[in-house]
Amino acid sequence: MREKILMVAVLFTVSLLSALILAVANTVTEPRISIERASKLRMSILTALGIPFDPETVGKVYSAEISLMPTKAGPVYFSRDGAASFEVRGPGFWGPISAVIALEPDAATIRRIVILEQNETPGLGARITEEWFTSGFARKKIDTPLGLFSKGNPPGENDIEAITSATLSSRAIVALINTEAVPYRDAIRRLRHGGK
Amino acid sequence: MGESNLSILKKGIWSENPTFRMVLGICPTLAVTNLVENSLAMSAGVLFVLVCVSFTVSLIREFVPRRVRMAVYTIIIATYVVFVDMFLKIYFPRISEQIGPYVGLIITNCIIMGRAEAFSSSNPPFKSVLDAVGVGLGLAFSLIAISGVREVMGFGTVLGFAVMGDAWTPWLLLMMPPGAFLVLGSYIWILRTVQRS
Repeated sequence: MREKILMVAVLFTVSLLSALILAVANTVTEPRISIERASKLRMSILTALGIPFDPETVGKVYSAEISLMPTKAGPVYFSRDGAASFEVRGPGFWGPISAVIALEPDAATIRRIVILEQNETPGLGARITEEWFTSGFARKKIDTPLGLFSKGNPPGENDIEAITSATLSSRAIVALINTEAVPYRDAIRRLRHGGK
Repeated sequence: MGESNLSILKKGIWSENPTFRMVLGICPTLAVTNLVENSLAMSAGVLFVLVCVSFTVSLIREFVPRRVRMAVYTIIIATYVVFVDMFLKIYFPRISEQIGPYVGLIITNCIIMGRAEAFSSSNPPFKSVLDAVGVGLGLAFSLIAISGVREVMGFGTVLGFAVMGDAWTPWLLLMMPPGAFLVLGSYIWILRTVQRS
């Protein structure tokens, strides 16, 4: 009997100590971790909208240039020239991918996309973050679904160049825009219509 | 236990190397060795957790009833691993993004549980820490050896710097998980042959 009580007591004490230590550590680090995350989102929004900034002045530039509008689809970040950006999230090849998409004031043409988070294969799928790939989305209209083309084949009007040996990751980004961006696009149009 | 401190330290790095000799902790080895940078971060994380766990387990070894020892070790390991995860998120957000999921998996890294069970639960703190440092360095040695080959051949870079010139055609296979198996297997073969002779 005494042995059993000792077992429970030791396990309980160790768990309690561990929980206490981690709770304290979490309270201490939580603000810093969320600041890190928020600043990354801000930088991506500025980059997507094409607003120049340097890492030290992100906060200043952001609050001067960006106005936030809540919509049914989610928060939309407007720049002063009327372009709109928003964050979309969807499945990738290995894990979730999130991206910031900026639309021109016509709420139809993509200005730029920035990949925020991804877990694709390094060297292959992870190349979705590279400029040559994301810049393929610029000036495309999202009213007709986007497609992919591979090197050496004639691209269709709304086709993006796929990454060689990372077709599924390329497809994931196109799907992200074709499906997740649509409710935002509609929300921005409704906002234009009803507002201003 | 008449072993000298130096031989405890050396054993983990060479003759009882965790990856190449004991073939433990293979999942993180395969997962993070595509880049030298990731391997360094992973090695540092495991080394830190290993040393802390070995020290703690050794300190409380007299008080832990045998039947719940595994549960106690797991809680201790998990506590330190969460620390490492938080640390990476704050100070190395880029590395944390790349190897994030694998940091949590340090908890199930059999090297750590293995050392707790095989060594520090029956040895004094100082010797346990030495053992942990040796095994941790052994792991670091293996990870760097594997990722060195994979990054140079697969990407043509070392720590992100191009070393192979523009004419180099990257070996796609080595970047992908199967490449890790091939390199790991070759190393085990080479090391065992060298050690036997």
